[in-house]
Amino acid sequence: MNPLILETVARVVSPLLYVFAAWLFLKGHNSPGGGFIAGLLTAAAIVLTFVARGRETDTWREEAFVTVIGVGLLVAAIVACAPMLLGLPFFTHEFTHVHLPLLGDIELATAALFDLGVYIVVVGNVVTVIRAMTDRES
Amino acid sequence: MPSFAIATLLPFAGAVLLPLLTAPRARAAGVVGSLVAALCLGLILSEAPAMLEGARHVEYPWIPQLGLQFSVLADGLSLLFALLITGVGLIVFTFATAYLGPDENRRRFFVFLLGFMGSMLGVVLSANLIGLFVFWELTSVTSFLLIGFWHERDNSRTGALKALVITASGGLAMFVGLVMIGLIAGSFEIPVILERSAEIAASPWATPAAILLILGIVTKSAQFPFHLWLPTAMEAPTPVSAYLHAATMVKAGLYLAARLGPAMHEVPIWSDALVVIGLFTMTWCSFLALRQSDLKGLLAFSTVSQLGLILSMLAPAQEETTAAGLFHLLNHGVFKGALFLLVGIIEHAAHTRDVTRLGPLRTFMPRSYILLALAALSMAGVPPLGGFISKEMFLEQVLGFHPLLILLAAIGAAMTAGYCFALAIGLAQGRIDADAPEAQALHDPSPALLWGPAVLVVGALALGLAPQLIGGSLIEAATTAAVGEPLHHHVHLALWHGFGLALLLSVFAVGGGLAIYYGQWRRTAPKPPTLTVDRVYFAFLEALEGWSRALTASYMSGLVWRYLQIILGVGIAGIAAVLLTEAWPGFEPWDARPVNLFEVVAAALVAAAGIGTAMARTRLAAILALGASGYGVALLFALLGAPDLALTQIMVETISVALFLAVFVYLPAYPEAERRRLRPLHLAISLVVGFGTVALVALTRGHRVADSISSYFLENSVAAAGGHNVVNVILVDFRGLDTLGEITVLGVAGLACFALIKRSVKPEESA
Repeated sequence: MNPLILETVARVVSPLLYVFAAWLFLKGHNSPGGGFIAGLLTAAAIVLTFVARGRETDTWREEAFVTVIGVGLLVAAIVACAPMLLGLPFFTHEFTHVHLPLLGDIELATAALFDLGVYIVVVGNVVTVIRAMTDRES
Repeated sequence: MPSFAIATLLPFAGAVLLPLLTAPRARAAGVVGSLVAALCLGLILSEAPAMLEGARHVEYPWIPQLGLQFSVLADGLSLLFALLITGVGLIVFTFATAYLGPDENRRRFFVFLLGFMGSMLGVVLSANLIGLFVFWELTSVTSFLLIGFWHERDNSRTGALKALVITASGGLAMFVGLVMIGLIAGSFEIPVILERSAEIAASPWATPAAILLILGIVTKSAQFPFHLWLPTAMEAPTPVSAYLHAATMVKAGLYLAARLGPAMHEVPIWSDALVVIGLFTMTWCSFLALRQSDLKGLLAFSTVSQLGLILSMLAPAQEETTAAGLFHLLNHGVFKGALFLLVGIIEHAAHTRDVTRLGPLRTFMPRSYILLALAALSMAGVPPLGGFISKEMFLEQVLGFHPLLILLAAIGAAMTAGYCFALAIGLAQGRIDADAPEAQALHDPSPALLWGPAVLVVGALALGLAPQLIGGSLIEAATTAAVGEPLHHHVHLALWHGFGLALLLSVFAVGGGLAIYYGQWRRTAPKPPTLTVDRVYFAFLEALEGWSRALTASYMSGLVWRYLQIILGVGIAGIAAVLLTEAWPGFEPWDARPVNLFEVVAAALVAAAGIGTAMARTRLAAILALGASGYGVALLFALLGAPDLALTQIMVETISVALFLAVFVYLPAYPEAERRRLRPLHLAISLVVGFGTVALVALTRGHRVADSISSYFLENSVAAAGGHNVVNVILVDFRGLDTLGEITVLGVAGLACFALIKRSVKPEESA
């Protein structure tokens, strides 16, 4: 494919993909979506950018996305352990509804924070593996 | 939350936050670490009066459905250890801040060290056996990371691995023992278990459980024949050796022996085995210490030997022996911590730890030398230092043992004194001339390094001069907790114990030590022997690697189709076994809804694409056909009402295609000649797998033995978890623990992939 076309398409599409991923993530508790799917989509968007614009534009440090994996696991583990500080069993989840002007009824759930950990791990994992495999020097 | 529980969590919080606060080489990491250690010490001290009064037991639910909780037990025994951990910890943290060079990754060092401190506090404050085990293993892991801190050195990696292999295998044996004890006693809470010593002793499982626990204790505390890991652990930076491998971690085994003593001492093998192992280790390793020329090696064997001494006192769980053991444990933490830090200082100045290459320390490093001599004399058991008192108490108690054990202990004490004099007198002169340039390079360090060991040596002096004032109530409370019942006599610590056999033995030990020093050590250069157990360890490791290499080579052919044959073949065998052994009621058609046209089209697409993949002429065509088959599956999922699965399937297919394209250029040429040939075996396997799966699904649908769990999820999703997407609610809430496990596996797989591809050692580098 002509790199120029691909690059132009990627430039337009990848922001949309990020927004779509965010939407999937936020809707996940009540309709199809969630951290795992949103993570895969985000990773795909990142990879698309790398493919379209060439690996030269990938200026992240070599182990940057390994760190992302660690951050995701840490978030998930902290969400799982945090209730114990309040004297509740391991992995207790809570949710509540708040009413905001304009946005209406918003549900706040600690499960969504755990899902955020899942999201971050998935992004870190997929991008780590694809970057490692496509590196010319290795 | 009580402050001793906060003290356990604080180091972990510090370890997590440290990377966010400081740069990798920043000195600030040490400052933050020291502050955390100081805060922990303060928290423990603030609880100390209450802990001296009696035990406090607080529970936090962990997984109440499994009877698991994090419960905290704070009594005199915990207090003694917690004070050692935080007190020596604070000194080591500040020492390490000044000790580590500007090029070291200080941040990483202090993250590990904080993690260790939290784990160690967790071990001594846990009131639940499972919680204790978790922290116990965490100390092994952090110790592994700290020994291997200089991971670019071969010796560090070997030492770290050896320590982990030995302590973690011992830990697993101990875990089985702990579970057995918990099941016999009917509870995993330590206070409950301690009250059920009669039931434990009466159980037929008591002896196996005791043996397993002993394995855990002797591996952790590096007792014979597992003493081999401690000397090689000395590859760690010196502050780590002082903290983990002298003052705290190696004492975890002693802690467990003291903690479970009241529950286990009625099991005959418990105290017999531990006393014999302890005293033998004491004597044998004091002999090995005499033969070391490396100062840290000498201290390592000396530590092992001293731990043996303490273990032999703690195992019987009698009040006099326990008091002697615990007081010596306190003394040992103080003088051995100081000795290690001072050896670190000497190494800094002399760039060697070899006693045969050191000049006269008395002339060139007077301050360090005085501190070193005092600490060594405390270990030798010379009055008026703390070590004298506890050594005297030890000898007095040993007199109650079997005559052979008395002899063993007396010889051990004499050899201990021998190597202590080698430090205290031998290093004054040194073995090279004062005029030599190496000797001239020696100098006392800055006060920032010296004050830590100075505080510890003052402590050793104070423990000798005013033992009752400083240690009396602490040792009494710790002994009460370790014996498990009120004491018959008050613990009385005094410098002068009166004339008696113990004093005679003391005099014999010191005299013998002087004789060994002047008669042997002074004249010849010590030559470190190779340990037989070391040879056994490496032979075992080599054999293990050989076996696994042979086993792996037998099936890892590098041919993907071979792997598929194995995997699918095992799958077929499994399905066949179930189908043939179960008594099936026969095929029962379930009330399937009618199939519509779209579904048929989608299924046909999947099948056609699958066949296309197998028949494709080029690899690119095969990849695209495989992708089409995957998208067809996604379409089927969507049509059958599983939108989450469909979305996931689409994403997975997309990324798989991207992965294929990424590695496309690296793949070998597509086997043109082989491609068209029909392979009957492969066709047969494919058909059996395909039809077998369908048959299995059809049969199981008509053969439900339990109600489906889906209705529970459907009913409770909104009410209990506040989510309408049941799939997502199951993932993050109902079965959140599974997901946590899964993303951990995912993360480790990503890390392994990265390490294998990016960090594999290239052949020319490994040479």
